[in-house]
Amino acid sequence: MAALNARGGQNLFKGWDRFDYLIPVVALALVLFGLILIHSGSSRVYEGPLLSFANPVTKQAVFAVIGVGLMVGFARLDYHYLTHYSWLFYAVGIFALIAILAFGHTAFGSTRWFNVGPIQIQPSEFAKLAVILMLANYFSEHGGDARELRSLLMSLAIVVPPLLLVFIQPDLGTSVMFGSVWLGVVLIAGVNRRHIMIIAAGSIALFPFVWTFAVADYQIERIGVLIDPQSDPLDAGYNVIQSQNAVGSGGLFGKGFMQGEQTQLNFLKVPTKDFIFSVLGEEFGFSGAMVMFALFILLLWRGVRAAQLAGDVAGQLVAAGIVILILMQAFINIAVNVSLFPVTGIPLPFVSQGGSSLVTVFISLGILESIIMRHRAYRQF
Amino acid sequence: MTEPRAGRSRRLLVPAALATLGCAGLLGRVVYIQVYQHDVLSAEAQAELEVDNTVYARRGAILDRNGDVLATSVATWDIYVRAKDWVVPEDAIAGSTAIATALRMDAAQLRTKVSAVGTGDVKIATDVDYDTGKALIDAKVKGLEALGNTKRVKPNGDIGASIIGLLGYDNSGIAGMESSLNRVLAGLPGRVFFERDTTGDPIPYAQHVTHDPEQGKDIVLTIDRVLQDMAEKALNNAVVAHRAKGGTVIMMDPYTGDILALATNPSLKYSTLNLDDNGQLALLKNAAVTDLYEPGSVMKVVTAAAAIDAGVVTADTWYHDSGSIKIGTDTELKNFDNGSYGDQTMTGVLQHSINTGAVFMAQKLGATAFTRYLERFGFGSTSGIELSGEPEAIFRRPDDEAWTEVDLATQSFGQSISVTPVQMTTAFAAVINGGNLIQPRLVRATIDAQGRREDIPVKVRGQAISAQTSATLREMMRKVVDPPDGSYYHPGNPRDYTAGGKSGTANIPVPNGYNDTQIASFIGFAPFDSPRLLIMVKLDNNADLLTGTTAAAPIFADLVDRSLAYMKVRPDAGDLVARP
Repeated sequence: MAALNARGGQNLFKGWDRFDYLIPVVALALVLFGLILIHSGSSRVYEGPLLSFANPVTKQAVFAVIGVGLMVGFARLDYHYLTHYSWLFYAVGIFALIAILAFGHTAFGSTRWFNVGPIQIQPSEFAKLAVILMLANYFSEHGGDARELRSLLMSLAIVVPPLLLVFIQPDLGTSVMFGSVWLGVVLIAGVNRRHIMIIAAGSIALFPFVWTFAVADYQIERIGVLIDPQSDPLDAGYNVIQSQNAVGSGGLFGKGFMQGEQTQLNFLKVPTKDFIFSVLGEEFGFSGAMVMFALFILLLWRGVRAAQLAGDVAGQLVAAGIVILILMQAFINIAVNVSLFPVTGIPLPFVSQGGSSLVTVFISLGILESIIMRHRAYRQF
Repeated sequence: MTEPRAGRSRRLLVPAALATLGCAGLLGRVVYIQVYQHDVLSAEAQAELEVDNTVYARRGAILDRNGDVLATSVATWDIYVRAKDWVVPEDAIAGSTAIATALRMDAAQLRTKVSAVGTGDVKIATDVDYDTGKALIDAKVKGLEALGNTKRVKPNGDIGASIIGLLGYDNSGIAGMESSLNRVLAGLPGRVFFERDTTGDPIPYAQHVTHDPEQGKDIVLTIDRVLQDMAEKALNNAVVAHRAKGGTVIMMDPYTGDILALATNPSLKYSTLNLDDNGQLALLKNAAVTDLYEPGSVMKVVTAAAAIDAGVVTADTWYHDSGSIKIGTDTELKNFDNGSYGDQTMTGVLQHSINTGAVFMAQKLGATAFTRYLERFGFGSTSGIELSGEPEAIFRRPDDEAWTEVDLATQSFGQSISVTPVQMTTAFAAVINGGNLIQPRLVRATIDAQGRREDIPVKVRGQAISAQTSATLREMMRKVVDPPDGSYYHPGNPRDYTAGGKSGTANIPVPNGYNDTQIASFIGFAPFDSPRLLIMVKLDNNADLLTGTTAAAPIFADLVDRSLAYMKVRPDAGDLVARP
């Protein structure tokens, strides 16, 4: 901060005193939690030196540092620049999602990544942010709310293209994420209750067609194994059984760091990413899970606070969208781990291994900070 | 911007409420899984880790008394095909051709069979011989899965099948000695227990328990396969010749109780065995051990032995036969031929099989003493033979409510009393071997996997009569088959050996009486001076209605001549006796 102040000058506005320090502290605590779990989860796969970019722990730490840097940068940047140019981010996001279908890297039967040297970039992570900005911008420029049916339908038109593009990757989880963000934003933007009812009824009416024609067999299978994982214990039901066994056998206090058999003996698949919560549940038990819950609730509380403080509609909607984004990701990820949601590749924000996700959530926090820091400044003028 | 602020907190309410609800749901679920289901899921997780394999023990062989193999296990393979490996047509054709060629099957049919099942492992063949299976494994035929198994082979074919028995698909005995001595033959399987990782490899330093299997033991039967073959053939021929429903031949060493041959008809036969035929299930038991019959006049020997041992008569006691005897007020018992023999000694009673003479002896003895003697001869208890399913002999005792004087009388000549062939033979052995009631046996020794032989001692269950009475009875039975006065020819007198014996022809009891079907039997021993063999021949329901003397006794004589010759016993009668 000293460095930033040293730039001096008028425009380096005095918002830093309003900077919410609790947000990065909690976020870094979650990242640290994640590093410990990634270390445990990767010990069977990675046996090289600790300080190597090949070590997933180190890699994650590097991304965290980059993320914190970007957070500070975005905090400094007036978020109105972002909302103003949101159409550009949105266009780039859509373009990337289309390109990925052609050139993307396929893993676990799904095409979600670009390979850039040693790094895989998952554009859908950034696209989520772009959609939030785009929605906020739209509502703030068109009456400040979603009462008009036209506004509502336009907002739907913004969210549907990326939603469909990730759905055909296929990535059901991220599609749900886009839907949730949209729903959350329009609710906060004051949607007409009648409109939302009609849309809800329309969705329910469409559901059978979506189920029949758009939902892949494997997705239906994954929903089926939630109810009875033993119906296909070695294939579709495998992850459900293994994650349940891991979380359940952890008990109140867990088996201890690096002591979980489900994790250490490779029964858990992708234990550093989608199933990192199972590692937590197994090795640190219920108490470990509660600590993590507490951290997330703390973070989200600060996010809600940011939304309430926001000086204008755009800031409020962006803050709300970011809170919903982080909340929903955490919620779905944990729900998958405790067999409440079909298996889908949603990372646990801040915790799961994955640079794109980590950088995106830190940028989101930066935007939140930017909103907090400018609430009074904005209203003064 | 004061206006929108007013609505803000209200608008935030709905998503906040939803988020709280979601968090509560997650929390509840975590509590449910981690606290409530902890034990179940822990056990599940542990079970995934554990490998618990059974290591089967080698099954012992069954040998005859001279060490010839009657049944032994050889390694074989069960052949399966993993259906999913044959999804690609080229793989299916290559795989099915290789397997079909080795197993002499039709490749196309094999493919049809596998594709019809579609998933999992499809069983193609069981007990494929070791070399054929090994060649297929070495050839790495696609889709092939071979599991080691063992097959029981019987080098002597059907000989002794009713004694040897057979194994079920689980390699556990279901009949005969395979079943009765399954524990000895099978040993105890071992166990390997370890924790594994996802590739199935043991985890170092984790739990690892191994119990070595206890190998099965070979058992040495008392059966001599040559004598067994002789007995089976003689019995089967007799059943045909006399149009009988079946029968039994037992050859026993009267001193040790060793059963040298035990033939039943009908009998279990490996060559025609079909367990899907319910009619054949009865063959899984050994009728000589499990089935009761009324012995008839053979029993007079036991009656005489009891009466003489008790001292109420001697072999030369005279009595008068009037042809019938009245028991109580309204029961009159007659001789089998409705004839009367006038004045007779007790030897004569046996020679002519006089029912009234047997009743005379039993009445002199008294009901209580007679029953005590029956029990001393083993009637009423199981003989202790190793084959399973043996019943106790059934007869009324004086302390039974329904007992009458008639029971004593009829029991004396072998009616109203049911025994098994083995029990009757055992009682007879006690009559001639000096009075010892021995336990009949089919196993003389076991040999463990290290080759250590453990001999099973002869077991004497008690003294039925004195040695002197026994000698007297032998003499009396000798006179049955070879009357000193030459007054009749007895077909039970062997050509080359001295012998003794007694026939029996019993009507088969049906409810409320007897019908005209009968059991013709003969029990005898040879040679006279030192009996080596006690042979029972029994024919069930012989349609030609010949008596024990005419139907069963010649078989006895023939078996004595041939089996003692095989046993290298010096002839002591007839033309083969060396003359000075």
